[in-house]
Amino acid sequence: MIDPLLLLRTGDRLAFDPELLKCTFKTRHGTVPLDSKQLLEVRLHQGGHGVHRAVFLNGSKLAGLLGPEQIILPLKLGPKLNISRDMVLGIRFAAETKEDPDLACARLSNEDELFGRLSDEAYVVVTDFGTVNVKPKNVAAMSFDEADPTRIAITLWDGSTLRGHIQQEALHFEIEPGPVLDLHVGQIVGLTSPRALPPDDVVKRVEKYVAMLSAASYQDREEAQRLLVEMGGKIVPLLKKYLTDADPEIRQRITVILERIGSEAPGGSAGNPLPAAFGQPGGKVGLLMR
Amino acid sequence: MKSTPALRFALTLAVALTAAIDPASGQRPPMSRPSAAAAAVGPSAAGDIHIASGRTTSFMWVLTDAFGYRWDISSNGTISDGTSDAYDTGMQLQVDGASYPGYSTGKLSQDGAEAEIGPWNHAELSIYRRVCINAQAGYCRWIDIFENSSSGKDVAVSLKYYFNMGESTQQTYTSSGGAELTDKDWGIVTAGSSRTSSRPAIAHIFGSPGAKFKPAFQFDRSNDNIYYHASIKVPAGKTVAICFFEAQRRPYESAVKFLKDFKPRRELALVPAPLRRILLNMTGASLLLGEIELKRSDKYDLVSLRNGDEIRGQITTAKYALQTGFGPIEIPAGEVIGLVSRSAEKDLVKLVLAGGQVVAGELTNGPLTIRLPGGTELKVPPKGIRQAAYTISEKRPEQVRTTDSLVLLRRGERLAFDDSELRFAFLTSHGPLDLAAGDLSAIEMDTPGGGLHRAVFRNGSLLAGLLGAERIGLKLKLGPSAELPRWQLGRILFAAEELAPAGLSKLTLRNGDVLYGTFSDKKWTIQTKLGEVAVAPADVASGQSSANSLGHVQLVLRTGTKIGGKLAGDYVGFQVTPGPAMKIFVGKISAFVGAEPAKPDTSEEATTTTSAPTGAADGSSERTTLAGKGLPELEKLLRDRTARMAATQQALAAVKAKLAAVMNDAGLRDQLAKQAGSLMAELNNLQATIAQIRQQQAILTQRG
Repeated sequence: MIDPLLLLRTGDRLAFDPELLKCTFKTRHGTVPLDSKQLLEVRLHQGGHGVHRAVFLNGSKLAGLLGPEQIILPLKLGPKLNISRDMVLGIRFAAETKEDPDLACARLSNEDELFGRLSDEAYVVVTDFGTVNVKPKNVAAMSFDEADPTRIAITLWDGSTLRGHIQQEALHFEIEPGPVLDLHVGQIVGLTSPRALPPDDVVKRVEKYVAMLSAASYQDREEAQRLLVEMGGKIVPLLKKYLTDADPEIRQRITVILERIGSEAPGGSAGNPLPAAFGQPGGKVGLLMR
Repeated sequence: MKSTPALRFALTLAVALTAAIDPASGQRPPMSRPSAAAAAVGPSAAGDIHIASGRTTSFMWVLTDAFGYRWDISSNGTISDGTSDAYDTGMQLQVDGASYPGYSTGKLSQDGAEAEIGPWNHAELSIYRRVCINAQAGYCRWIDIFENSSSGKDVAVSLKYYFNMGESTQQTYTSSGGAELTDKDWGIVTAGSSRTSSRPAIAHIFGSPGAKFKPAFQFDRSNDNIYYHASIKVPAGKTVAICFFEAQRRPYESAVKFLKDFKPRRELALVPAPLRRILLNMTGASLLLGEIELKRSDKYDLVSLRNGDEIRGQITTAKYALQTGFGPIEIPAGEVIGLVSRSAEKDLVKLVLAGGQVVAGELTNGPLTIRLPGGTELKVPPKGIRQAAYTISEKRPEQVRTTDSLVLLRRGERLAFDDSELRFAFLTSHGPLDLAAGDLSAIEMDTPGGGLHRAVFRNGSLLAGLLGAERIGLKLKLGPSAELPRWQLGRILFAAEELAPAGLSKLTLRNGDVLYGTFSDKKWTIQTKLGEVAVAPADVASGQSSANSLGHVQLVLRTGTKIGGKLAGDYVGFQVTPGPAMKIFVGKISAFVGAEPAKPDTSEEATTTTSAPTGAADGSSERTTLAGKGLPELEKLLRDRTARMAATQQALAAVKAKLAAVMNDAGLRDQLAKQAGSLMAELNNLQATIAQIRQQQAILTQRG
C-alpha cells in the first residue's frame, strides 16, 4: 500500500491524505463525484486532444475535466499545498488495478471504457413483432446502429438476439465500484456482459436442483445433477457461487457439472460476443468501432 | 489557403445524387454466367463524359496514393504491377475477344488525377477508358465508355476484363461478409496466402448495392487469374459506361476494412453527373446524406414499400405534419426531397429537406398519397413505406448544399439553426472560455482516445474542452427553438467561412491541440545562464518548450539568434484570431512558430521608412510593424526596443566576460563566440529598428 501521491510537472511527488482532496469531475455524462477509494489515478496530461482522464480501480477509463482550478491540500509532509491545477501531471491513488472479469464493459464513442453493470430496472424495446421488456441482468451484449442509435441489437443470456428500437435514450451504467453515469445510446459503441443471468424462473429451477444435490436420496442427487447438466452452459454463471458451498457434496457435484457444461458457457470464458453489426449478416463479429 | 481538414468539408454538405437510370436489363443472371445489360440512357458523348482537352500524359502513367500504393497505368489502361507485384496485369479490357489497344498519350484532367485514352473504334462502337487515381482515398477507378453513334442499330458486345495477379487467390472476403460470392455482392477482396504473401490484398468493386446489372466476377483458388465478364447492349445513338474500383491494402484485414467502409455512391459523387448517369453497374439514383441513402429518379417520384414493391408516380401529399422531439412542425411538400421510414410499427420518418436538413418525427397527417401514371391515387401509410423520394428537378436538385449552420444529432437528424450572436461556454484545461459561433467552424462531440469535446475554429485552431451547458438552446430555422440535451449532439457545424491562418502564430500544445493567433504578451523574459533576456514574441521565429524541465524554452529569433533558458512566469498569453484570449500554461506548450512577417508595404511612406539607415541585414519584420502605426504606438515600440537593446548589450557583455575567462577551453570558447556573434547581430538589428522608428516618428510629427 502506498500513500496517494500528487505528481507535479516539476517532478515532485507529494503524499497527501485523500480524504482532504475535494474535487469535481465534469464529464460528457454530467458532473460525477470522484471517490479516492474507487480510483487508481487521475491523469491530467493527455495526448490526442484529451483533457483529463480518471482511471478507476476496476480499470474503467473516463474522460473529464478535473476541478477546481486551484488545488489546496494539506500534505503529509506538513505544509498546505496551494497550486494551480496546471502544475499537476497526475494524481495517483493506488498502486494497481483490481479488475473483475465478471463486470459488464461499455465501450464509448470517445474510446472510454467502463466496467460495471447496467443499473436500470428494464428496457423497453419495440421490435417488429411487438414490445419486449428486457432486464439488464439478462443482457449479454448490446450494439447500436450508428445511423440511429435507438436501433439496438441485444444478445440475451442464452445467445438469442433481439432487434428493435429501445425507448430509453440513456442507459444508467454503474462503474463498480464507482459512480453511476447516464450514457446516451449514441455515445455507446458496444456493451458486453460476460455473466448475463437467465430469467428468474430459470434461476429458481437452478436453485431447486442445487438444493437437491444434497438430498438424502442418491437417486435424487443424481437426478438433480443430470437436470443441471441438461440445462447447459447458460447456467454456468449461476453455479459458480456453489463452488464454495459449505456442503462438500454440492461442491463436488457442481465441479463435475461445470466440467461437463463449462465449455458450453455463453461466450466461454472470454465473455459474450457483440451481436452482429447493423447491415452485416449475423454470426460472430468483432468489436464495433465508430 | 491552408489545407482544409476533412471534417470541415462536411460543412458544405455537397450531397451525392446519382441520376436515374432505367433498370431495363431486368433480372440479373446467375453469377456463373455473363450478365447482359441493355440499359442505354446517355446521349451521345458530350460534356463531362470525357476529360476536356488540354493536359496530356504519356505512359507509363504512375501515381502513388496517400497510403503508399503504386498505380502504374499502361498505355491500354491496364494496371501493370501495382505495389510489390500485386498485379502482373489488371483491368485489361477485351471486347468480343479483341484487346483494347495501347495509346502513346492520353488526356489528363486538370488536377492530374485522371487520364483518358481512346476512342478505339471497334464493333461499331467508340470505346474510351478513363482511369482515375484517388490518392487521398487510396483507390483507382476505371470507367469504360461505349458510344454507339449509329442512328438506327443497337450494338451488343461481350466484355471481358482480365487480371493476372501476383499470386494465386487464397483468401477472399465479399461485400456480404462471406468468403464466396453471392448475387447480392458488389465487391470482393482477394489475396494470396496469409502466411507467406508480402503482396497487398486487393479490393475489387464491381457494382453498387442493389444494382441490377453487375459484371460477373470469376476467380479460381488454384491459379492467379481473375476475370470480369459482362454483355452489354448499346442502343443506337446512345452511350453507356461501366465502372470499377480497385484498392491495394496491406495487411489483408486493411483491405477487408476498406471494402466494409466503401460506399460506392459516396465515391460516385466524385464522377461528373453526365457520366454517372450512364453507368450500368453502379445504377440506382440516390441521395446520400449522412447515413441516409435515398433512391431517386429524374423521371418520376419513387416510393419503395416495405414489402419490396416500388411505386413510380407522383407524390401528391401537400404538406408533412411532424411531431418532432422539439415540438410539432409543418413542412410544405415543396421543401421535401424525400423521406425514409424508421419503423414498421409507427409512422416514424426522417424527412430529407432540399436545404440539406434531416428532420425526424412521427408523421401525423395521415398516409402519403401517390398518383400513378394512369391517374389512380394510392394512399400508403408511412409505416408501410421503406422510403419515398421526389423527382430530381431544379427545385429538388441533384446536389444539395446548405449555407446554414447545422447541428448533427446522434439519431441522424441535421437541423439548421440561427447562429447569429450565439455563444457557447467551453470549459478547457486553460480555464472556461466564452466562444462565439462566428469564430467557429465546428464543435466535435466525440474525440477518440479518451477526449471530451473539441472546438474547431475558422482559422483551423483545434481546442479540447467540454461544452459547458448540458442543454444547448438553438433557434431552429424550421421555426421552433430547441433545447437539446448535449449528449444528443454528434457535431455542430458552423456556416462561417474558413480563414487561412496566414500572418498568425501557431502554438502547438502537448495534447495535440493547435492554436493560431497572436501572442498577447508584450515581452517574454528568459532567464539564461548568462543573464536575463527580454524578447518580444513578434521577434520570435520559433520556439520549443521542454517536456522534462518545466518552463525551459529554446527560442529562435528572426535574426537567427538562439536563446535557451527558463521563461519567467508560468503562462503565455495567446489570442486565437478570431477567437478567445487565453492564458496557456507553459508546461502544456510543445512548440510554436511565430507569424510570418507581412510583405513589405510598397507605399511611399514605407519606402521612405525603409530607406532609413539600417545597420542590420534583416530588419524586414520590424519595417513591416511600423507601417500604419500612430505616434503613441511608435513611442511604445521605441521603449520596448530600447529596453531590449539594453538587455542584449548586457547579455553580450556577460558573454564577452565569460569568453575572456575560458580562452583555454576551445570548445566552450567557440560556443560562446557563436553566442556573442548572434547577440551582436541582434544588437545591430535593434539599433536599425530604433533608427527606423525615430525616422517614422519624425515623418508623422512633420505631418502634424
